[in-house]
Amino acid sequence: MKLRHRLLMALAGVGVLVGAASAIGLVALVRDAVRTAYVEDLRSRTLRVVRQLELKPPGEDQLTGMVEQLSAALDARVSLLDREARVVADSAAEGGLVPTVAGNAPDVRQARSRGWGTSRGPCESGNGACFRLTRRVDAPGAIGFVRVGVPVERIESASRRHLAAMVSVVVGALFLLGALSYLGFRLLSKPIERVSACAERLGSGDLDCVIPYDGDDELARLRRALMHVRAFMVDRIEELEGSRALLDSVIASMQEGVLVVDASRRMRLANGSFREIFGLGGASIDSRAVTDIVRHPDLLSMIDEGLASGEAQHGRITDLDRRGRTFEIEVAPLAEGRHQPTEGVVITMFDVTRIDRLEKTRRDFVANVSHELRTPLTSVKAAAATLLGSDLDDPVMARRFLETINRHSERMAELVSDLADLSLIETGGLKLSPEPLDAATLARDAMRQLEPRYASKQLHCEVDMPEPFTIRVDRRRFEQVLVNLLDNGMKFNRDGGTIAVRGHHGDGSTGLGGPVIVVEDTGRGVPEDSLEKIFERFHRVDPGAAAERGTGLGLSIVRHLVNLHGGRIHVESELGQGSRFVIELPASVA
Amino acid sequence: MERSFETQLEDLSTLIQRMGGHVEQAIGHAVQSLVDRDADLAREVIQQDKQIDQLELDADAHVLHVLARYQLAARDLRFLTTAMKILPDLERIGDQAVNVAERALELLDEAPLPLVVDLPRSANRAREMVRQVLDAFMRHDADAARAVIHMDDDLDAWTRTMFHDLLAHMTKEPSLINRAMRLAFVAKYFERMGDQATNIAEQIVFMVEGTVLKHARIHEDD
Repeated sequence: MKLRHRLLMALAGVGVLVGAASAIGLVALVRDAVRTAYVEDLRSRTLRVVRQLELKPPGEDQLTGMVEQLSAALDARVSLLDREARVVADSAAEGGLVPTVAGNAPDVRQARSRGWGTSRGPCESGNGACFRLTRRVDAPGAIGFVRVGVPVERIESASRRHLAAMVSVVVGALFLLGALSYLGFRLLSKPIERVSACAERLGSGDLDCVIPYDGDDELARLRRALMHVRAFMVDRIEELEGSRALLDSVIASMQEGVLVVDASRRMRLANGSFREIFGLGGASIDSRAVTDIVRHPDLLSMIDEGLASGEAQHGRITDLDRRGRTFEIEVAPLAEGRHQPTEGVVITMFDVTRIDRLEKTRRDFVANVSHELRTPLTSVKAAAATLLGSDLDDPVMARRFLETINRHSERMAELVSDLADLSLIETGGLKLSPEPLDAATLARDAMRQLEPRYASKQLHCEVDMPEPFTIRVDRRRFEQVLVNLLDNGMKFNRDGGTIAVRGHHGDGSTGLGGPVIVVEDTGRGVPEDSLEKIFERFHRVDPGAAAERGTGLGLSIVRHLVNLHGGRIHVESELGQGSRFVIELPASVA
Repeated sequence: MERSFETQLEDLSTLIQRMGGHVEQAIGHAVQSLVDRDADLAREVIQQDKQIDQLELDADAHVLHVLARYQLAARDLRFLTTAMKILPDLERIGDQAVNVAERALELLDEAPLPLVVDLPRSANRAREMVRQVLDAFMRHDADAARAVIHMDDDLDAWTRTMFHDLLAHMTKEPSLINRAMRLAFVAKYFERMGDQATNIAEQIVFMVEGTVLKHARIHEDD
């Protein structure tokens, strides 16, 4: 119920009580006053009649006519009594006088002794009560008393009329008061309603509610207090939203997949990386069971264990996503305070595929370097030992062993030199000195260098490019590029195969727009998954095939050197058909 | 306290997901044990199959419980009957992973034979099909289920090629027959896994759309 209605009801209650109390008092008061006034009026008129009678006493025969006149003048029943209180004339008597002795009536008795008398009693007509007033006639004559009678009802109805008028005035006044009060209450309660509506809106989270709070009354103070609460809430919410947005963006930008699972194994939060790992897209995870998304047994058992024990779990999973990445998994209990059941766990998934590969590369590198060095070293050692233990005077034998030692030392020197080159390039210590050179000549020189090594394979070598084909490169380093590529192409070629160096000027629309040099072979080719990896240090397409061991660094050095020239290299290949190493150089090299 | 109906369905999904996770892992480990000649891993696959079987029994009992306990709407009924039908398929895929592991163990007794055929490719495809079909089941995604059905075509073709290649090797080098035969079995196991994943996919289309895909396919084949 609205406040103004309650006030109005209270007022109405008070009005009814006051009205009732005053009505009870008023009714008695009014009735009395009206009756008194009536009686006084009747008395004074009767007195006038009596004075006339006293001045001029009527004769016997005039009595009947006179009593009629008096009755009409007083608008009442009039009786004339003689001195013995016998009725000598009565306005109510029709067709003859009814002599009645009224000496015993109290009003007559009073009049006899005091001059005036009043009484109330049943009417002679038998209908209701009548009021009687009797006056003694003091002048000499036959008439001793004048008796006037009116029905009490007449007096009562007069008083009722007065009462009715009064009541209607009072009721009207009450209604007016009510209406005015209602307006007043409305005026008062409107601002209160506004304040309470605003408070409700604030309570339901709508902070847009603003109300002015001028003035110094209680309502203004209430409004001011409410607006202060609002300002406080706005500040706190902004603060919270700010820190939450920061937290959200931190979690969202994390490279690690992050998932929060509560104690009932429902997902509470997942960041973009997690969604990417599980191919979720924008699907909602809100409160879904973790097993809706995750079914990897190892991951699930880590989550189970983390939730059960409240202790952090670590693990590594290699087959979590379809891309075959390796993840380091951390399942950490939500720290809600120790020694109590955990509220949930935070799962972070760190992609260690690259680190793993680098680590493997490093391990392989050390293993490879030691292996590559040990093989020739063993041969050198064996040859030297044999030589020492044999007859040094046999020049043929000695020469054979020394040649072996020489060959293997060269191989070691090559490896060490490659390692030195690689280290020089990787630490940025290598500076090129480009000069205009003919690529065809460079290619032929490189082929000539390698020819003795592969003479047995009977390879068909060709150089196919416009002549002269001038490129601005560092002579030593670019020759190294060609030698390494050709060495590679010859090593893996089939007997009687072809190896070719082709060159053409770029037309600016493809590649880097400069010269393109291609080293092509008819070897076994490179499998698709190795096309990129063969440029890594010590990567071998077929680790089992030890037959054609090189340093394993050649292609890595090639890529570095081509990059240093501002160019790039890639390989195209079809298994069993051969490979094409394509060097694209920038236009500035032309 | 009796758990709510929704929770019961969720529990069933969880059981199937856990089972599926083990099956997926079993496929991966089985082919890895074959390639790496890793006896421990092969034995682990065989050992882990007990867990898959147990999960199937649990899930099955769960389905029956829910069926008996509740008045079901058509949608939930389809979900439950689908769950019932895919459980044995899933369990059989697990069994086939065990078969692969067993062949891997047998091959360990013999001299190493370079993998002349691309079994890992088939294994990856079978595993991917299982992965995607389980995702489709969890997400009620009929399109994803249809995509799985199409993935099976490659697998069938690869199996035919592998049979052909292995046969060629056997004719050329009869001493290889024993080992090559085992590889042929393994190829067949992966093909069967693909078939079962396809079955599951068809069930999922029925679950989501209420249409029976099998009959449509029969008509196509006519």
